[in-house]
Amino acid sequence: MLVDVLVLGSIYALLSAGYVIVYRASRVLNFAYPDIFMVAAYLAFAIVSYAKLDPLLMFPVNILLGGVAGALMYALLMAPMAGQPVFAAVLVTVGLGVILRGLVVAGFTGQVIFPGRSIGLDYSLVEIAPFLRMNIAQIVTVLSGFAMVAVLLLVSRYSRLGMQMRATSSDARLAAYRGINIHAIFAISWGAAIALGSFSGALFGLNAQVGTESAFIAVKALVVALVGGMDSLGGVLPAALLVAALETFVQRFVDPQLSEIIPFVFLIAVLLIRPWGLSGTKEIIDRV
Amino acid sequence: MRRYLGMGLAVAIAAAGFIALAPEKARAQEEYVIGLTGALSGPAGTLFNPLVDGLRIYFDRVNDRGGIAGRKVKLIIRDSANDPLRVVADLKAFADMKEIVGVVFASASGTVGAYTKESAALKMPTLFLNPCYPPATPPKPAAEFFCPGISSYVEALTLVDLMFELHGKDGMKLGFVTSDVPGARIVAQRIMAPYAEKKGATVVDVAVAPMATTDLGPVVRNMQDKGANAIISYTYNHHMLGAADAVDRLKFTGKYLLVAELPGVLSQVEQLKNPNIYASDQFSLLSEGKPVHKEILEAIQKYGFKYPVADARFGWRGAMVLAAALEKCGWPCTREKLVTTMGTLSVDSQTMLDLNGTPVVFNATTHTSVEKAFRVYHWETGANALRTAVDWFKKPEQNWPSN
Repeated sequence: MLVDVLVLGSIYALLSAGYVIVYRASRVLNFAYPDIFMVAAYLAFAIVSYAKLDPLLMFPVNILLGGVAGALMYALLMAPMAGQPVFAAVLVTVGLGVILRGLVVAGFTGQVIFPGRSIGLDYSLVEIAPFLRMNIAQIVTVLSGFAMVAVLLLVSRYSRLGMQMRATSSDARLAAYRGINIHAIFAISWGAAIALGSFSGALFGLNAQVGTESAFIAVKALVVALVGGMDSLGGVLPAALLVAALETFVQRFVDPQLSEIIPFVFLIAVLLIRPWGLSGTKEIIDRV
Repeated sequence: MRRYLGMGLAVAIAAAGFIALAPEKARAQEEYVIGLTGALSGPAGTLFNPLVDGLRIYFDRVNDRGGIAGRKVKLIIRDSANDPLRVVADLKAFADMKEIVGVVFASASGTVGAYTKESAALKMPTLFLNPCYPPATPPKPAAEFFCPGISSYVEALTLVDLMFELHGKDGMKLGFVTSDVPGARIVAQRIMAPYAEKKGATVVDVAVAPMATTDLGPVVRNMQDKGANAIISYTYNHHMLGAADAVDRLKFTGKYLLVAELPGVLSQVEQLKNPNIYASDQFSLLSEGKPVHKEILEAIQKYGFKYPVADARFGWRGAMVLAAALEKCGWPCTREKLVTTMGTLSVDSQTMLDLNGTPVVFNATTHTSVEKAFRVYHWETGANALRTAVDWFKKPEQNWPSN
């Protein structure tokens, strides 16, 4: 069970970090994110197979493509929405999600695929510690998931870019007066978020089959982001592990039927007690 | 002058339209016209597009070879998006087109009730492309509703029989993986599990996964912990394949059986290359090289079929049945005549036997096939290919349970 929690928690952490980064930058909930995740999972392996690349290149290629797609998404869809109600921008993301889903059905025929098998991954278990055996896909997922979240936290807290992102998030107009190129910051934020979604799509494909239903993983990652706090990168990992543990426990020991419900039950419980999430900013909720 | 010019122009346009339409109308009268309402968009499209396309390439080939007794078959295809209201709207639109003699209905079970209520009222001969449900099933099938396969009820029982064939009678500890949708869950809980227990298996678990679940690893691991040595899955593709994926990743040493005749499964089973994963199928493999297999592969090549080749078989069988019905109906074929023709249809050609294992036979008590043959395939490492594990296991159609 520990392995399942770590793997699922890592995917959740990466995806929810993507939600948080976009929300912090633009106050937009990106509802296209689940479909972006699903498309990325399909594309990651399609590109590697089609271009006959080394499977290891799948991750940098996916991150790069995700980053460019995210920046373009901001430039083409979000920047023109500046000055419009946030609700309108959110609706744009909803529309984008529907389009992406349609494209997957048209392009990939919506068939279930086994990406790990297509790159010849060996799922033999390796003993990491007593009672802890993992396969290579799980090891890569957990290590890279945790490492990526750590890098994000470090960049956010200690780098100049992180400081500019926080400043823009706090007050975009003031940040612009201070000479920060806020459009570049927004574009970087969207690029980083979509790159994370893309990367987690590739990781997910290593661990399970990919189909149109895979998008729901990213819907549950929104729960993680809300539980952790929509503006808190620090809350992402604990919330991800907590939700993954609850879900896996219910799936294994209570009833698999309830496993998809339990994250949402947990979310409601958390929001009733701490509407700003486990480590979100209370002030933001108060302002709303 | 301008007035005459306008009139002249109107007459010229009308004449051009008449010239353009007249041959079309004449041609239409010489064709068999079939309406097709299919769940082509939305999530169900993944399943139904290959079924419809399999049927389409069959008729493309027939038309290229001169049609049925010299008359081409024209398909008018409408997308229902698996919406019961649109399914009914499509049917009514087809009913209004006098040239349409019958309808192919390719949509999920949730739309069948709405469709059949209307098709009975309109007396529209219908060929259903999907696993079979009432009102095609015995004992009292609807006069105009036909399905070339066998009822999903009998198929569910057959899966248990096949697992006994694979595992042997003794010591079977059986788990079921199903989905949280009434059709799949009820079949596993109320039909398959009790039937397996009656036959002597110990049912260790009936795991019902929510539709959105993609990783079935914890479910399979749970069954492993409970000592399962056999697992059957009869549900949506992504759950059957998800469990297959988990079986493979977790090195489950028992036997895992899923259903492979519907699109998107067999090619993926092939990709897993796991000898413990068994696929129950209603068709022979296209790699067997018999004339019917060559015909299908040639049609795929010539008329385009973007799905895995095995996925063309289901639609192809449906098209073979429809073509046989139209041929028997003769010319001119009316809806009434087609209903009567299909009610006593028997398609027992060698090509049907090679593809389907048994003839497709409709009679007064069943509008599904009276008997169905099943094959089980699995990956044979030595041969590096799918091979037959159980050959043409035959099962007669049974009355649909009243409860």
